[in-house]
Amino acid sequence: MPPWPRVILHVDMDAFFASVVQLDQPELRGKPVLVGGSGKRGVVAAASYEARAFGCRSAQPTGVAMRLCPQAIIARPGPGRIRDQSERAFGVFERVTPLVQPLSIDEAFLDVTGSVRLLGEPRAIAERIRREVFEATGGLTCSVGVAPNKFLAKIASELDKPDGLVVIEPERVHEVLDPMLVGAIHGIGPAGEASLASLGVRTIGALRALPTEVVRERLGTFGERVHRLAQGLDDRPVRPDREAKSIGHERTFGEDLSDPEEVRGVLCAHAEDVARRLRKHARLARTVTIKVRYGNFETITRQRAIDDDHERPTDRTDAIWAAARALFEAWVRQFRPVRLIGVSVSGLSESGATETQMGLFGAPEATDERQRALDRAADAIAAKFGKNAVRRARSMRDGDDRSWW
Amino acid sequence: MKVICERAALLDAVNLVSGVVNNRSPRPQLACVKFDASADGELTLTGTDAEITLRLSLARVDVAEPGQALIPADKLRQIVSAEDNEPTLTIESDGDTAHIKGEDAHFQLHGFPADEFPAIPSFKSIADADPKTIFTTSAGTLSGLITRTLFAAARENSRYAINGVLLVRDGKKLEMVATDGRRLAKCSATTDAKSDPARCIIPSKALSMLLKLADEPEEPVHVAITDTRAVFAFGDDATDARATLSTSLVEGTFPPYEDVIPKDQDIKVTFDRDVLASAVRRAALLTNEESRGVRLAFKGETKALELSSRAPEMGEARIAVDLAGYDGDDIEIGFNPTFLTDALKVITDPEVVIELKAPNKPGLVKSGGDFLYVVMPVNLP
Repeated sequence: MPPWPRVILHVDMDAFFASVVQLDQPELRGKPVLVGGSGKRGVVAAASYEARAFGCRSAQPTGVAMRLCPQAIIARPGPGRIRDQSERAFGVFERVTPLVQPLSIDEAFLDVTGSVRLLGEPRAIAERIRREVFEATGGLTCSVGVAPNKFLAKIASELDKPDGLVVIEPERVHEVLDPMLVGAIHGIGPAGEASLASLGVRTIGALRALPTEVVRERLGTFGERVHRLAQGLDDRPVRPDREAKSIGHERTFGEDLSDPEEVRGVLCAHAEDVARRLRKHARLARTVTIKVRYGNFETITRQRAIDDDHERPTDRTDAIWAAARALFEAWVRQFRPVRLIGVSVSGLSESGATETQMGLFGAPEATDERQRALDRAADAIAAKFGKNAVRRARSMRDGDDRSWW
Repeated sequence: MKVICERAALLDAVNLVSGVVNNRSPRPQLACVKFDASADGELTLTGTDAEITLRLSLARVDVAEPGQALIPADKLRQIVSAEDNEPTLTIESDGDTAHIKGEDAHFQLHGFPADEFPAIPSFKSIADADPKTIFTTSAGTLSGLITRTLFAAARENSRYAINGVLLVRDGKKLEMVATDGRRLAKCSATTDAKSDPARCIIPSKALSMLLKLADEPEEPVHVAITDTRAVFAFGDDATDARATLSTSLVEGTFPPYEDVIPKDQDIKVTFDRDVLASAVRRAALLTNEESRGVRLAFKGETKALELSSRAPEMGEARIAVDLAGYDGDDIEIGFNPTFLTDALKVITDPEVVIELKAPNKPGLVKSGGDFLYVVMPVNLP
């Protein structure tokens, strides 16, 4: 057997939104379920496989889907459940390889080439992922395609959906690909199909047999790439989403916090931790978001721009805490005991290369420099003695029984 | 109360007054417009958001029965606006219910007893109560001052004082100053007669409303300022004004703006306003969130100004402006282009003077002797 040049996995959760709902609401299992808007202009976000049997599919207007399948049940996932489950699945992926490229909340490419020696054959890795996703999510299935590149992996995951695993070994590429219709290649639409059909070309195998020039003539500049795909060649790398879009900390409490002052303490601790991570990764942030979840799982988020007086992105703890605090104080009038508190920052840019708008009044540069010196000192202490060795006094009142000495 | 109004005039008035009203006021009475029809045939509309009160006197109206009514502002505005086939509308009150009638339409709106609306002090009562100053200017002067300063005011700054515009009265001089901490606009005018000196900070919303009211440049505007309020009455006679806007003042101390207006700039360059505005606007095309600054390089040798910008992963722009008469030193300074175009947009004079000293010192934009704009540079990396 020839060696695998690369081992690429395409993992696609099966009817993700609908499956999450069916998992959480057992009475819906085995029934046609539509997730999405139920209003007049509602659109189906996901249809369970039972509903798909009637022709329902995602992105269909709910009204159309209901006509196709009048007995379908329109359901809604619990708040935060979609993200929670997605995070669990991605957690599994990331334990297998750092090279994870999310395509959406329920779909990803994984490059596991480097994991083969550690974790075994490509098929074994895929089986392990399917098993662990099932366990981590409490019962969700996914379909995995294993192949030497992204194009083939994606085709493979479609072949045995749902709950499937298809491996396209390098030596089986033509065997699998050749009988497929040209429309299976992403980018060949009805027009391309018609154009190729006029040459008598309907299958990928026939397309592969054409000279590249002819394909280019028919399909334009895109033709060259299509011709390579028809041969099963695709060298696009798996690009992990290294550029974090946000950095955040959140904590769920064993018992709901009912004292706003305690919540402030937690917020402050989160702000400190988030700011420290920003500095560690040499990033600046523009926006702060706080997240509050009540005992009944109702969750609210509030965000605002970080105001360090000069409208510029920052990594200063005091500025991030001030913004988080301002959000909290605006909300605190509706205070109810909270189950979870989170702080995150977004609008990230690299520190160092940014320009700074000067101010008219006072000496903000001096304040800025003093705060930065404070942050640097605190970071140095944290690096040596741990992050709880030095904290703002407020964040020590966060209801946690840490030892502070 | 029963009044018959010309719809177009009523719509204009209702639009203006409901612009003040806070439709989500916790007191529903305050989300209403108060109608006040007097026995001598005058109809006034009043709206308030607890800080700003606007009272308009309506022309082209027939008072059939004097009286008062409180009508929810939002629905009133929608109805008057939608009844666009009617030349006139009849508004009648019956207890707390208002009837708005057209040819083929009859709306009944549930309102509130008119006496639940807060008492609004008149211009006269404020003028009689010994204000700090009282003077008369024109609508044109007032709108010129507002247009050329309000844009520079802060929006939601934690220093509340700069979310408004400073009004300075001294002798015949009338000035407005606004800043957001990074740039500052100051505009001056004079009035015919002297009055006592006074300073106050006017909320931005009140100034936006004044701009809408000041559509007749020649119309007199009577201004009275007390410790807590400013009142503006539009019309020949302040006690019988076409429109009266009263606003509470922004509390707090305006920053010491005189100190930040540079006095000894070395480099002074005169530009055609439109040429400079176009150059800045074009250079700004290749800026983005991360790289907002535009670099202005004044070159003595080539007698030219080069504006340049760079947006990472997008590209760069270079715009050349001829400076035939330039004999100053070379200097390179960065500015947020929006700050420059904001000012160039409101300058009426065709010529502007840019004054600079150093890349880390404020730039000064002057025009027409009455407008001055200080803008802090951007430190470009």
